[in-house]
Amino acid sequence: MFLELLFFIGPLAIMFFIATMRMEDFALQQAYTLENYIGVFTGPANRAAFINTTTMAVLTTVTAVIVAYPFAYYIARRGGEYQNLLLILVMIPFWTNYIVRIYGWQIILGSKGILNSMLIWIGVLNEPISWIINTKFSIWLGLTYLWLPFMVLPLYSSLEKIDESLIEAAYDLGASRLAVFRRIVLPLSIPGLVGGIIFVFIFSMGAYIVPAMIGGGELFVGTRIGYAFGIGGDWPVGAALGSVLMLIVAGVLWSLMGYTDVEEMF
Amino acid sequence: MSTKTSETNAGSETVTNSIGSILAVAERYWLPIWTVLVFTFLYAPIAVLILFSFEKGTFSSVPWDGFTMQWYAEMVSDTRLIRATMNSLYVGTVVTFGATTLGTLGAIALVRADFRGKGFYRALVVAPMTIPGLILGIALLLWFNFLNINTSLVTVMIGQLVFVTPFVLITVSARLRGFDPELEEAARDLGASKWQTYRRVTLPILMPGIVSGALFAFTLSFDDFLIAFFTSGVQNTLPIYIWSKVQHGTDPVINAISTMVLLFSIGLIVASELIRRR
Repeated sequence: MFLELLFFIGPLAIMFFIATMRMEDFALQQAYTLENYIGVFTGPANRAAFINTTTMAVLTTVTAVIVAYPFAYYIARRGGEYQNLLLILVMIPFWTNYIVRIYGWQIILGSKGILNSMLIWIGVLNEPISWIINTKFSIWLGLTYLWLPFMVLPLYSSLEKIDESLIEAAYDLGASRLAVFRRIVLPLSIPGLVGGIIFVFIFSMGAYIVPAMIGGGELFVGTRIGYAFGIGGDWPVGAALGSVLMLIVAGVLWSLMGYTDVEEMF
Repeated sequence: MSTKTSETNAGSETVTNSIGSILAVAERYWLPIWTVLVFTFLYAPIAVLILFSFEKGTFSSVPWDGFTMQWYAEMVSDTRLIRATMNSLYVGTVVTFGATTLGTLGAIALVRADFRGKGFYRALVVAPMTIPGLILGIALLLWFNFLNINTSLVTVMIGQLVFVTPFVLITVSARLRGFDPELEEAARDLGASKWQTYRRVTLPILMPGIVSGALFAFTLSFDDFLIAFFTSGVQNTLPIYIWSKVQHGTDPVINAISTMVLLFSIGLIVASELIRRR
């Protein structure tokens, strides 16, 4: 408890505070100003980064729901004796280093990468496709890839809990498959769905590795923060970007937390 | 329909039938097919890394240039890599011990005891899990700077402890909620002291949860990049080393390193799952 206060609340508070300072010659100055916060909303690059990031996060979340739902449904309701094995197969990518896995995508998608060289080799293409890496497309693909298990696992745990007799009763009463899905399965899976949406959206908003590794120069909040703390050497600007991001994340959490139980998911 | 000639009628019927049967097959099998496709997507980069860590050519591309173990030989002789790996193992071990102890005690407090502000405490415990690592990383960097603490492997450990502990706590408390408190009461009735009850009843029952939580903690620490990246100062952990190598473009040695990291993590998670499901 004490640890959390000292090293969790403290750091977050200090981030909001440092964002009001200025940095000159790599030293923080005691000049308090709201300039950096204002810059987050008025600076064209920052604004574009926030718009890009939010768009990509929404797109990724929607894609993840579409991809994960039938997948989780199949494992949870039709997995049978293989259910545990399938679940471990989902967990493995979930807990293996994500830099390594995104690097895997880098060598698949690169202009001389595996996909292009294979398509050229078998004669489908003459020229490598260039839009599959270092574009918004590759960010979208990478984010969907990375956070997919965070959508699958919560969905799985709520789909698995649904009582089969409810579904059978609905069929007996003459409900169509679509009706059973809309009236029974979907409503009962809401907690898992919301949990997955929270994770995927928040993690996509705060993504750094994907846009930095396979996102080319696309403006993204995560990479701008990384830059401010790295080569850019402007901590207060980075802190201001981080603070606004944090507020968005907290807002999303606050508004969706009531529909789910995060503790039940793992 | 009946006014048409029998010939065209038969022809269109076959077409309708075959489209119908394709749709019927699709409707029946789309779920398993979809599942296989998603698994392919999840494992594509992993398979590619493992496969091309044995390829002779310096570019990971098709066609295959031949089998080699050269990249693994280069990997083993890389002293900076070995130092980074040792650092990661060291940090991982300390964080695992710390997080497992704190997480287990926290879980017992949260499930068994009733105290004021329990709801707040609960929210506080879950919060670090849902905050992007990037925000936590920079916030910790600013915090250590503010407290005049030089960043090193020690600050990495503290930072990781903050976000790893909740995962252990949740794993253990799930196990704790699953078992009957009457077992503890029975032990007390039979004359066991409070400490004996903990040692002989509570702990053994919690053990699978604690062990899988510990393996969980180790994996999280071992894979963490963002917190280590911002709070490690000049010292490298393995993910930071891999990151710095990836920045210099593709290199088949990275494939070999990645393969080893993957196999290590897979081993840990499989062990953790086997213990948890026991």
